Amino acid sequence: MANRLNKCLIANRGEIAVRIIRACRELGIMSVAVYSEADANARHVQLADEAYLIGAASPAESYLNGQKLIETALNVGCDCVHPGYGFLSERESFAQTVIDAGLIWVGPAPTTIRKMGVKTEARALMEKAGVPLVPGYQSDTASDADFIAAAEQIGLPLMVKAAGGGGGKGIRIVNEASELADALVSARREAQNAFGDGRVFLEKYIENARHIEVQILADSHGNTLHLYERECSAQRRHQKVIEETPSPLLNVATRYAICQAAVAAAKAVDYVNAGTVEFIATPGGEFYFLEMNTRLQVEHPVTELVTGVDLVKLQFLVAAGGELPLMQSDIRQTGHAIECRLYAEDPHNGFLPAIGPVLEFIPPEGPGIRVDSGLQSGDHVTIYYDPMIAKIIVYDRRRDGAITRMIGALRETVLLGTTTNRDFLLALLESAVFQNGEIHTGTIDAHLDGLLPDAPPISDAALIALALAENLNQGILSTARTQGTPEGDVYSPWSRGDHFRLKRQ
Amino acid sequence: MATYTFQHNGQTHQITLEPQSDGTLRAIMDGRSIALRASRSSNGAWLIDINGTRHTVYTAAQGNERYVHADGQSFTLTVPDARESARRRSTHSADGTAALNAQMPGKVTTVLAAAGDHVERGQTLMILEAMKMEIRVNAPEAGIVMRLLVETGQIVERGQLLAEISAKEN
Repeated sequence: MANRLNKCLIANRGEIAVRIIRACRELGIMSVAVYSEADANARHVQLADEAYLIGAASPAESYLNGQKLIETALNVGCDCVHPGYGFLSERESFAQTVIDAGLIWVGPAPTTIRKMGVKTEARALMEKAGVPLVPGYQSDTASDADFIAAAEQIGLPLMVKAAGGGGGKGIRIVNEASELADALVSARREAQNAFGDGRVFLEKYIENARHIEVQILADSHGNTLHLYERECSAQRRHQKVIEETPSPLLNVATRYAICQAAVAAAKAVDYVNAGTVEFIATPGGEFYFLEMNTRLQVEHPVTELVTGVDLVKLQFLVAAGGELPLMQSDIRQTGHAIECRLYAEDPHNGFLPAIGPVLEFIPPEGPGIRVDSGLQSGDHVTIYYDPMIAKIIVYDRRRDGAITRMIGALRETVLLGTTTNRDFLLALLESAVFQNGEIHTGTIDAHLDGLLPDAPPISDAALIALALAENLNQGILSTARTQGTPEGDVYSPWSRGDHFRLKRQ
Repeated sequence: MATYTFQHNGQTHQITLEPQSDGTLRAIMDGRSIALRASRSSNGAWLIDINGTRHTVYTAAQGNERYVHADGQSFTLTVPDARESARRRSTHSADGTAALNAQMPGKVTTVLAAAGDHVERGQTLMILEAMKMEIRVNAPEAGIVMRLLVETGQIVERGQLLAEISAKEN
């Protein structure tokens, strides 16, 4: 009864659009990219079988324009839509409109998105399903006074969180009762901007908390599998920085328990497709349900590396009505995988986005290294979209080996033209707290100064190369280059000395 | 012979390149003389051999900025006629006026003050947004908004002057 999918519109951009295009190719599904005016030359546009301009650079006019996306899908003969992550991936109304247009939605049912998307509704459902919950307070009709009274009950510190979404947006930590009123106002505004839903709720703030999430994969034939956990405790202001699997925190018994809880959570909402159940864990290994992300996660590749399962391909299979070709006992967690998010941001300027041209991007390569990127040399990092340049993902049999491999991969990554968080990632990987597997979600913010190494002195080789490049750019050596050795050497000791005519200043 | 000057972290580096008759190069920098061999590979990387140690170095240029990746480290330098970097968040002139510059490129989503307003230290004057991040531009001190140079919806560059505040007279 499975449908055959022939042509997919990918309602996204960047590395995740590229990832989905690759899965489509392997499955024999035609891929259709969409792009904004800012992305005309983007990698996902180049790689897709077809690509269509859908609007201006601002996401609201392009990647968030659901009507335009569906029109495009219908006009060009698509039979399915993959939303990726972010943008419209967790918008129930968009998923419903896709389905109403007669297209297959490569994701969970709209009702599931709503149940899990409204964090307050999700908490209620999880409670019923016996999934452990963080103590909190929720009410759609509560006044600020009610929230303040509830806060006293829960105790401080606590968090104000957006009911309508996740991803670290709309979250405020309240340490003093006097801060709560302001936190409610600003969290509501940010939540309104980010999710179009200004409702917030309270949750006890668990100190030294670990973020552990479980990958779920379920079909419409009643099979709900877990693909083990990922730990994403290395966060800066609630944004994940490094993710890994297995979690260094969990022992065999806790791992089993958290994976079972995730399966129970997914079954409680009749989940179909790939999804992630997020938990918060205490240093002692107690865990509580945080939220469920009803989509593919940014960090899905680490799970793919330790399980050997291609999550995106199985998303298509499940969406087409197929039955998972795996049983729980087929899924093993082997070795260790780590992902680093390489961002165009300036750690020495408050991690603010560093926009600019990517003059040169040479990703790392080698055994056990995977790079998921939507950028290439010549592209621009713009103000319009997330400033992620690439996800660098490594695999090794052991955690220490994976850390060493990641350090080498980051050092090898050449990215010229914009500032990145690379040195910050390296400092984190080299820190004792990370290497001992003791990072909790507050560690980075608390120890930021120690993780922002001063720039080392510039090396002789770097300065000499810059001087050579300067000389080359001033034109004199271009003649020498054409006359030079086949490799284009201009200063080669093997070519004749009279080719070297340096420009005089 | 050619001499080039770069600035990095407030330091000035001067490098003179001298081609030698045997096809090698000599670099004179910071009072030292370094013998080297250099070639450029077809992918644009510079291969530099100093005393038998090989370095693969990537370079790029944009405006007055120079980018270099060598031995696992990246650096950004400038060439001397670089315009004064406008990265500072606020600068004070002799007359006590504070200039507020954009800390990041983005869109002005909300303007909360107008020219002529009296503002308190820390008061939010406007909100900028880029890549879904919200940045509040706050008054560095109490004073009067002398000029407000942006409006809601406007796209601003990093370093662009947003407003000027004169210190409050007590």
